[in-house]
Amino acid sequence: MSKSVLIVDDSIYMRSLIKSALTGAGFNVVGEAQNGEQAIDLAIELQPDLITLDNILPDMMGFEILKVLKDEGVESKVIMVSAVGQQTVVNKGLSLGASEYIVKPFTEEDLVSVVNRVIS
Amino acid sequence: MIFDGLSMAKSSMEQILQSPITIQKIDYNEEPGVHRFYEGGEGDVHIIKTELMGELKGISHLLFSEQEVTKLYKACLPDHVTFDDSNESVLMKLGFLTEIDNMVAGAVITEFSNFLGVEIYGKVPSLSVIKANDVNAFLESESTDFDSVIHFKAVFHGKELDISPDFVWVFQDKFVDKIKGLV
Repeated sequence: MSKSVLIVDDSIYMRSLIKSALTGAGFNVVGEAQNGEQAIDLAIELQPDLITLDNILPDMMGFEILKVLKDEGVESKVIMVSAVGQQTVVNKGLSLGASEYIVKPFTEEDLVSVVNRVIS
Repeated sequence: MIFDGLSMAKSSMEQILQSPITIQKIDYNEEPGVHRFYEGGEGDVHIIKTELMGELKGISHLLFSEQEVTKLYKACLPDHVTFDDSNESVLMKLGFLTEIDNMVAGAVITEFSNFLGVEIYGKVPSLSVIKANDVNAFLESESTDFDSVIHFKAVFHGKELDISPDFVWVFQDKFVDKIKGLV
């Protein structure tokens, strides 16, 4: 059975790119969220194997979402995706429970490779 | 440091647009007064703005003319999106433009924050479409929230795509103090 993925990004363009890459690689995209509130609701409801999480959303930061998911007992693996890749920010994401941190722009191959590594 | 940041931005833009980009010109200014940020022609200009949050205040603006936006859509998006005016396709085109800015500004933010040892982020980018004649006044008004500012501007050039977007940053002068503190 293919692994389930929730995509969290405020940009429909980025969600579409990520969805296309992951669907093409055999993953099952079970939901998409464009803000933090939707992301938390869908993560709790769907309990996906993996969440791709944009760090900057209109209503909250990905860091805050990581904390809420931990408090709610959501055990999905999380890959943070952000245009800002400073080392302190990457370390912060990883220390809050993210499995990987991908800096935009990235290729489809990069993304699929990281996702495979995280949920294999 | 600014050149390094802009070089990273250039590389990001090349990767997103899948086409070579060069930095044609860089201007830097910390003098007070009205600046001529934009020297483009007529017509509409798409300004994608990313505001910084965190330890430093500043705003980045990526400027494309109407013609350049059309060229980008044709070169980078599938035809069923480029030539469609449905709500979803319009959102996709808007998302594409703001994502270019997000990544290009993000490259500069990453470079600066690593160099200066500060934690800064870019907010979600926003798009404004205004007349070319009003661009300088728009950019000038963006800096009125800061006590004093420095600004720098790069003109990128994509020969294959035939585009020359401007990339204008306005920073609070605390930015310069941070650099002086490191020297």
